[in-house]
Amino acid sequence: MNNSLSRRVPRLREPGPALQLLASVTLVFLLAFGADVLLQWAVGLFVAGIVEQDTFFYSAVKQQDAFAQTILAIIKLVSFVALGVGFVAMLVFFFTSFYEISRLQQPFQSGAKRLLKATLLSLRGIATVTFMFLVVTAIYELLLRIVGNQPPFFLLAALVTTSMYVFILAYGLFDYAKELRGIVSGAVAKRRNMHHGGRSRRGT
Amino acid sequence: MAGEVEEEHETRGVNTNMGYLQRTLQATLTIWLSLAVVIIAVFGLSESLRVAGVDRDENVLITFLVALGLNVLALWLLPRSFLTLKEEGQDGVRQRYIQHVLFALSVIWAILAAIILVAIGLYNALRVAGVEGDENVLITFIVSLGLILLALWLLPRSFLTQ
Repeated sequence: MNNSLSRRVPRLREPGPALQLLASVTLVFLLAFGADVLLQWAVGLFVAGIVEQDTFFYSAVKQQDAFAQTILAIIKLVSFVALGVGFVAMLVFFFTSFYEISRLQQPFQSGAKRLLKATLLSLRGIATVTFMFLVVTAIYELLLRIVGNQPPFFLLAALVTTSMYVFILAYGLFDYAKELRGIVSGAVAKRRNMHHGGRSRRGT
Repeated sequence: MAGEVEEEHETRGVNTNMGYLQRTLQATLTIWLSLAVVIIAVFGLSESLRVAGVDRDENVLITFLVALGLNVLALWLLPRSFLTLKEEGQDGVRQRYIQHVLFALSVIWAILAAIILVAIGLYNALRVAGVEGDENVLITFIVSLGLILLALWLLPRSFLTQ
């Protein structure tokens, strides 16, 4: 009787390690993508503001503006492609290791806490760095309004700010991947130790 | 004996006052810096919305709402003792985090400013040497990319991941 009842009641289980990994990696990359879009949008509008102030400048300055916009578009494209490739590469890398972890729900339980902590820290880091770069862009927008456009200065400021942000974002994601690798390889090693321990005990 | 005790009480009182004064100054500076950061961010948003063609009233409304949200976030991140000026033991981590963020912001901004100044110097030197227009911008941008990588390599890792 009891057995039949327990069979009917669906049991709430924690999501498996694969789902946890997928969710955290997707969350971090989604935030990174959103943050990148936001900053590129802000810098794009900053450059549009520069172009607005350049209306009465001679044509060489306007040509430079257009050229800087092209470089910005290239940076944007490269960063989006890099994010996409990074996401796919990370999924492939971790899901090849997943086959080892998928058989071991139990040892990953301790890793789940570390995974959650690493993910939350990465999310907080990406959000903070993006906010800092938005502030830096705003400082240059403020300067642009105060001192007026000094032809290449603000264009270079926009280009340098965007490229530094893209590099920092890439570093943040690499750092996250490194931490994940540590967590996954830790779980696998733990499982192997348990497996070998069990065998030797059975042998004796 | 009584004189000694009195003296000790007086010294302790002075120390408490000094501690309180220091905490008040620190709280004032941190709140002021956080407000400055929020105001600058909100100015950037308002400017971006203006260039994007958003209506003036809508612009003010959106900017105000975002500023409100950022203020709440800043207050949440600030240690409670900064708001009540009472001593609290649990504030250490938050205080360190917001101070770390403000410090990292100023350092990153200073580094960016230095790189931009070097880039402008290079741009002017190339212009005097006869390199004109797009080619000049491209060379300057590539050199500044190298400088950025150098700066990132030299910066502490905690600044990059926060």
